[in-house]
Amino acid sequence: MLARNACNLASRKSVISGLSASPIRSYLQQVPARCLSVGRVGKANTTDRTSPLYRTHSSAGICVERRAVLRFFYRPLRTTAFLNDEIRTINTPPFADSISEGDVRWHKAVGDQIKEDDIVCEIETDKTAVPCPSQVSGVIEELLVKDGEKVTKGAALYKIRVGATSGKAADKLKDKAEPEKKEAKEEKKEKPSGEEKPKRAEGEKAKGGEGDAQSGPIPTKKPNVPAPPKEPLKSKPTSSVPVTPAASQSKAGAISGSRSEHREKMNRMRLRIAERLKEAQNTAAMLTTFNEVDMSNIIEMRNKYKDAFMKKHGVKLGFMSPFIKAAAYALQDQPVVNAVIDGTDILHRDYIDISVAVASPKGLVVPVIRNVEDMSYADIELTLEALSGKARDGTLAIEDMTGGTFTISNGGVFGSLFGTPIINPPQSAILGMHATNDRPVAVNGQVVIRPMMYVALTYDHRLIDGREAVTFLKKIKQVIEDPRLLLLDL
Amino acid sequence: MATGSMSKQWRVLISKSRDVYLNLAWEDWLYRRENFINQNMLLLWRNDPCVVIGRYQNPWKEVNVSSAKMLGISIARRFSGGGTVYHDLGNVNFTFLTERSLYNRRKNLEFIVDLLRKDYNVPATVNKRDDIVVNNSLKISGTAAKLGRTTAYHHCTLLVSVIKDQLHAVLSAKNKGIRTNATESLPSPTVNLAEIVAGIECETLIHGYAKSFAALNESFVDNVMVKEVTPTNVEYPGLSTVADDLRSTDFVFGKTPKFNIVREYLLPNEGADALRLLFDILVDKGVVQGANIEGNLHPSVMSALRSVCAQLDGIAYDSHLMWSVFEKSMLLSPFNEPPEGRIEMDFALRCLLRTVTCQE
Repeated sequence: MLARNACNLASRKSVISGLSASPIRSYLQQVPARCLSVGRVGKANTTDRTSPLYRTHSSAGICVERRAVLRFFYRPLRTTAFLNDEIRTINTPPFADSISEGDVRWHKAVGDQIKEDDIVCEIETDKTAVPCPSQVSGVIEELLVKDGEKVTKGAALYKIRVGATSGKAADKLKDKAEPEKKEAKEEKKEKPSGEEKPKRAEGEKAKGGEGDAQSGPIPTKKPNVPAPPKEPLKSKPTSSVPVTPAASQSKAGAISGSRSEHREKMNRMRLRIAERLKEAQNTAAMLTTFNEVDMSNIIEMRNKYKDAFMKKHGVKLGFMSPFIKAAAYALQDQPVVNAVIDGTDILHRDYIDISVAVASPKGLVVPVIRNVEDMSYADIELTLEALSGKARDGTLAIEDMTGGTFTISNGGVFGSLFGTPIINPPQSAILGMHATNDRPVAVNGQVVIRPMMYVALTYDHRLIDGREAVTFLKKIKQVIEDPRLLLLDL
Repeated sequence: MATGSMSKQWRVLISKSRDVYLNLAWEDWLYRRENFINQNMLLLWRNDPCVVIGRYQNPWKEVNVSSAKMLGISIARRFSGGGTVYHDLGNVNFTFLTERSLYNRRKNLEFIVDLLRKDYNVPATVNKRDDIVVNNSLKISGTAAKLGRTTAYHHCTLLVSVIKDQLHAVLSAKNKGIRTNATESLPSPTVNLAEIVAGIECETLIHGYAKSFAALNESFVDNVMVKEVTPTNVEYPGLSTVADDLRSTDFVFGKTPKFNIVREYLLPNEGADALRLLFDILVDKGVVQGANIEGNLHPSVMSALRSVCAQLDGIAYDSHLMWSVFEKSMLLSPFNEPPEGRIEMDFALRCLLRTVTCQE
């Protein structure tokens, strides 16, 4: 009996899947949810409602099919980003422990602009607050639950218009949003639609975009939205989406003299950098000592061995690794530079983690190379390569950037001659490398042209005395000018 | 300590600050900015006398705000949910910070109870509501938690030797008429540990817990690092900004969920219908948003009442401004009304005052 049921089901399903929209609709209209069409079962025709055949069919058979049909029919419309104005319903995330319900506490309101990871609301279960960060950027369309109301797991919380902006020019948001977006698979589909077709949110927050021909209050009719594409947009992975290096450059760089201004909110990273820089300035007694390094020996060494190095280690021999190694050596010689003031204590560290300042699309990041005291030039180069790759891709993790007992910053790649770096807290010193220029210098009473680099050491004078700082920098200079000192441990 | 090691770091940080706002900001900073994939952290901290309400609570409902102000007891709103607690130097606060998947409230509470049982013979247990109780009845600890995406924290208090008079003074709120869906505290009878076992002191307890935090660590004891810190902006950039936010009236009082004060008054009237007055004052974000007044008093009295209430619109509830509005209106009233209206006006204003102060 059951086998026959299954056959019927299968055949019906295959028939249904071939049908187009309206026959399905009329079919669905014909079939009531709790089916009484026992006749379709076939010979095992019975009006006995207790018979297993009947029950099986009614509760599992047609209803399953109907659900299956519905699922087939509706799923494509809901999950792909055909539509520009996708309004997504966000549900309650899973609760903690064995709790089954909680109270919603709204942090945002209808019409608020939401960035990915912004906390939209918190679910308060017994003594526990679970923040609900948003997975997407957009504008809150509707709150489906009142503040303080109880919700159960999986209940619909709010609707968000994905990719929308509220009043601000959409392309400004695009520039800001691009570097900030993360990996989530769904995002890959939404982003191309969000970026390529910026649109205004209707209603409440529409102040009229900049350069909008129509001035005046809230528009009363829908703006002209281009028709949805006929086929799915190709999904692009985050890294391949071209990132405008800094939104400000493309805007402020074009100083056309038209005497207009525009404001741009600082992104989180820049705010954080600004905060930290000021903290450093306000706490440490910063002072910079300079020296110059004759780069001829190291340049010669590099030229002589760079091919062999590349062949063996698979990575280029740059100038950072000799400097990093020199710094590590000098730190072992003057350990106070590796220490830091912590409250009223001096915290000495018996490991050397060097932070290397790297420019990434998002701004300055400072990944850390751990335990440099044990590394060779090759190890350092390989680690650097890995970290800069991560910085370029935007996949540097927080662990990669915290800690660090000393920082090296290379302004020379941009052509800087001379400068005073700022200490990267919580450290006590930072080495700034600058450009290498050919300069006339006196050697043994003769004027010769040598490639010279100015180096600067900014240090915290509260902890490090002048003598120690100068000695430290001198050591770096000596080890660069003659790497044999490393071998001889002089 | 080599940072590249595979085993988890177990750290205990003891705050040297007694400022509740700074300590809460410090706790929040660590929750947001530290990575807990390779470490578990325990924070131990104490505060000068203060009352701490949960993130979604109503301070006027939970705390006797005027007593607190008089006694110089600060009121703070924390970031996690839950109920209201009183802190002073006789109370120890614990915060357990871990990665999200390792969040285990019960385990932390058992840890606290174990030390009390072993070292001090206190008959303490963890009850079903995740409170620590003594003799199954008296509460000595309150708990709250926050579960972020990658990190979670669970914090709780421990009553060692708080000043009970102050505790009762601030926690007996005058809140008649407040109708809200803010989180409500469940008051329970409490007791100090020092009342059960003589000689228990906060300092010794703190150091005891710091040392035995290793007990939660299944591997090496050496891996526990105990450090006393004074939270400042050097190690925690941006700390003072968060602390200032926490201190601000906008946060402590402004983040109160919307509530109404609803009171009805009846005054028997000889030979006529009783005088009836109904007030419904809406306060949102700590600011009076409107008042609905109904009743059968003389129309001039009703309109006078409504005009007083109209002046309250947009004024922070329970602020100096609000009280000065009342002073002005009280001064104006009785002598300008016709004699029969005077009694009614008097009654009406007294009812309004009673309503706004939530007195019995």
